[in-house]
Amino acid sequence: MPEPSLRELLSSSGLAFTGTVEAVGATTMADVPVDDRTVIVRVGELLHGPGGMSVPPGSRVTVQLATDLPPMTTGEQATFFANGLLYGDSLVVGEVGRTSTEEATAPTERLSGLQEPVPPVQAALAELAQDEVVGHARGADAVVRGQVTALSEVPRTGPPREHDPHYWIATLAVDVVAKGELPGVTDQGGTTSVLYANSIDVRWFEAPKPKAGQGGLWLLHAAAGDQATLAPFELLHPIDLQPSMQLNLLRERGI
Amino acid sequence: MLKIVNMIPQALSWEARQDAEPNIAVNPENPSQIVATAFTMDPMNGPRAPVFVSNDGGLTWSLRSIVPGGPGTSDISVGYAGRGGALYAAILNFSDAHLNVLRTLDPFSLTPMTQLVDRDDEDQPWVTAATTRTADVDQDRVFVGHNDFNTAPRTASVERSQDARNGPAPAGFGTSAVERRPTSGQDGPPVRTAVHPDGTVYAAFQHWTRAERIANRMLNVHADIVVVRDDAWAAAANPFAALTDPDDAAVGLRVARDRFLRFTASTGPLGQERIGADLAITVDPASSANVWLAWADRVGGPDATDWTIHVRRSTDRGATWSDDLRTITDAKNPALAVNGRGLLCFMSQQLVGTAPAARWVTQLELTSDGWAEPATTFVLHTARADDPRRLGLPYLGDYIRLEAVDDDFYGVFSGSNLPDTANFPNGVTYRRNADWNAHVLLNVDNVTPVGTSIDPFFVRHVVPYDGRLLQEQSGAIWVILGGARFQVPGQDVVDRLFADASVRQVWDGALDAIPTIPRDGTLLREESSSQVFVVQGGSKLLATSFLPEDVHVLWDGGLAGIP
Repeated sequence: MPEPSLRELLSSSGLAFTGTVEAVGATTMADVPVDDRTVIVRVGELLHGPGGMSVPPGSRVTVQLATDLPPMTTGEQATFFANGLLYGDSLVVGEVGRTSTEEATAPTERLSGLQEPVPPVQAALAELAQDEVVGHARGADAVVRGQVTALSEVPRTGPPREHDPHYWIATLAVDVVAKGELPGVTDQGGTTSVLYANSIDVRWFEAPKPKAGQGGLWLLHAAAGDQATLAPFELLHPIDLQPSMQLNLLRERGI
Repeated sequence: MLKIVNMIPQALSWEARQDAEPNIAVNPENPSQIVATAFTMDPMNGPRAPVFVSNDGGLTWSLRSIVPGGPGTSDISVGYAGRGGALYAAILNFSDAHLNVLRTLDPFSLTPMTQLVDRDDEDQPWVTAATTRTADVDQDRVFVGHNDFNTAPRTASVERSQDARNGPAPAGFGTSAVERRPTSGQDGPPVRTAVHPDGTVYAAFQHWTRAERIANRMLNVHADIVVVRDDAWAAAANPFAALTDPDDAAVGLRVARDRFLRFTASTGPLGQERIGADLAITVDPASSANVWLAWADRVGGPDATDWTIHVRRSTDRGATWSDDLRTITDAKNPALAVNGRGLLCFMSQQLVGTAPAARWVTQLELTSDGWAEPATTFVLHTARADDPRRLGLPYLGDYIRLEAVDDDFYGVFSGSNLPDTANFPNGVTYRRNADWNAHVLLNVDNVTPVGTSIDPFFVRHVVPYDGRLLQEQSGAIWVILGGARFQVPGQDVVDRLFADASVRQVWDGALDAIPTIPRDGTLLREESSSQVFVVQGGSKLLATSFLPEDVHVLWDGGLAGIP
């Protein structure tokens, strides 16, 4: 089986860091079962993690090593790719992949717009971010560049729910159709309407909520079921609204 | 004795989301094991949502992502079985909003919970459970109150299983509406259950009689507050039919009628919080005849702004109810629990003052006489109502929760995590990093500031009844006698003199405020001596007249601290 690429490792893990194995068969948290693949790693550098997360250099993390990778001994260094298992007074993670420190961190890659080379992990993360947008655009039913010209509330019928989406409709003045067919929109432009959840309930508050005059690249999904009677498209995901400059990326990738 | 703990662990000191709407389950067999939930997302946005677990009675917490359906939930409630350690959860699945009932036999493992029920078009599940033994086999009786739009217009329902621990999905689960009357089209979201070990099961719900939409996000609702009861685990074909209302002969006793509710799903008229779904019910573990109910409504009607909690009690299995024993204006999230000695604990969150000075005040009240005398009250938390700015709704949650195990109370609430000792008049413990002088949260590096957000807080109240054995984290064991604490010299003494009492774990310093001299009239002797002493004015005097059964026996030397 070929070694997974950095991109594959990053896409399957929530955390990447360099570190040195400090102890084998040991843990930083008392209630974690320990075996010979449970190691304490002293962190060198956090390379990737959730926004806002901090794992300071020198901190100790428990890593449950992947069973399909070689065991490690005290003093060994590596770049670890892992997902969280337990969050307490310290962090316990499950390893999904491993590379040498140099392979992940040596500044050997080029990123557009930057003069200095960057570490391969940074380059791979940038590519993954682009891949996410491209992949999402491929799954969308239409991709348009446009500006919000009207917002209107959909009258509510039926029983009220705490988790109601509270649908509104945004009218978009479209000047570019990158993907899909939109009724009433030609090469010269036109307008389309898009349904979105305006509720700030926990189920919906991260769904995109267009604002008056807002412009951008809109990744539209065909409305289904009852929603289709209200508008041909809907916005569902936080990344359904992208900066207009992402149009270049989509064109480069054949969309 | 009161302990309040911010539940965010140190390793998540960077966490800044809105961890609202907490819930809690305490293992009745081992109250050191506690599971809690909130609208907390998996820290790495993984495929499962986390639960908070504590192995030390709530002093420290960790997160384990074992709830399937996505990195969070749209609703979650948990309940422990009475024995055996199984934990049940009911959620609205993050991915598709379906009701899922889930089970794990060990919530402390990292194994994902097993899905037992999966159904669309549901709202606000609420889990309670008990365990019975038949032919040497434990059976977990699990009751999930839920608002089932599949049965509209009678939507208030209880999903239940008589043997949820054993067998594959659906593990005996099935649902039935507990609403029997016509409605305005649905009932309110909260359907709460309370289970007694004798097989009595209560459910409470808002019976919506009229609902008028005044804006897309607001309703004016007229509702009855209804209690139903079953006397045999709700196992028969027509469950929850034991209570009928004498005025209409329908199933379900209307404790309060034609109450006005303002129901808001996506706006926040109380502080930054929405209102409309506040309901709680609990049953006295010593007697299933004693049941307590709390709800909130708008006393002033459509033109008013109040949101008022009412607490009432029944002593005849729900057949008749008191008038309001307690009301709190501009408050929400009532939570109720009764301990093994009939002491009622009531927790709520009140908006005090007017903007911009308004504050959310979370308080806990203890009463043994239904507020005939003033309750013992603790302010758990007080914080500005406009800070932090809300990210979404609910802001604090549509509910909080209390549980009683034996003599102790365990609860959770959510609130601002601003590290300011003035916000915690009864103290608090943070595991996440904070600068208490600068009133700033700090990241894991203990340097980088982190913004204020909503966190879940754990609260435990320990009642130092006479005869209780309490062990501090440091290992010191104390016995309470005559209202005073005596440090037990060793486990052998516990085994010899207090074999019938269980030792409860408490935090270091928990007993500091308990006196070392018993109250006047306390009778004591040391085990090798026949001399009996009575405490008077802080001293021990030789007692000449007493009933032997009133005499507390201590180890030799145990009375040395009493002059």
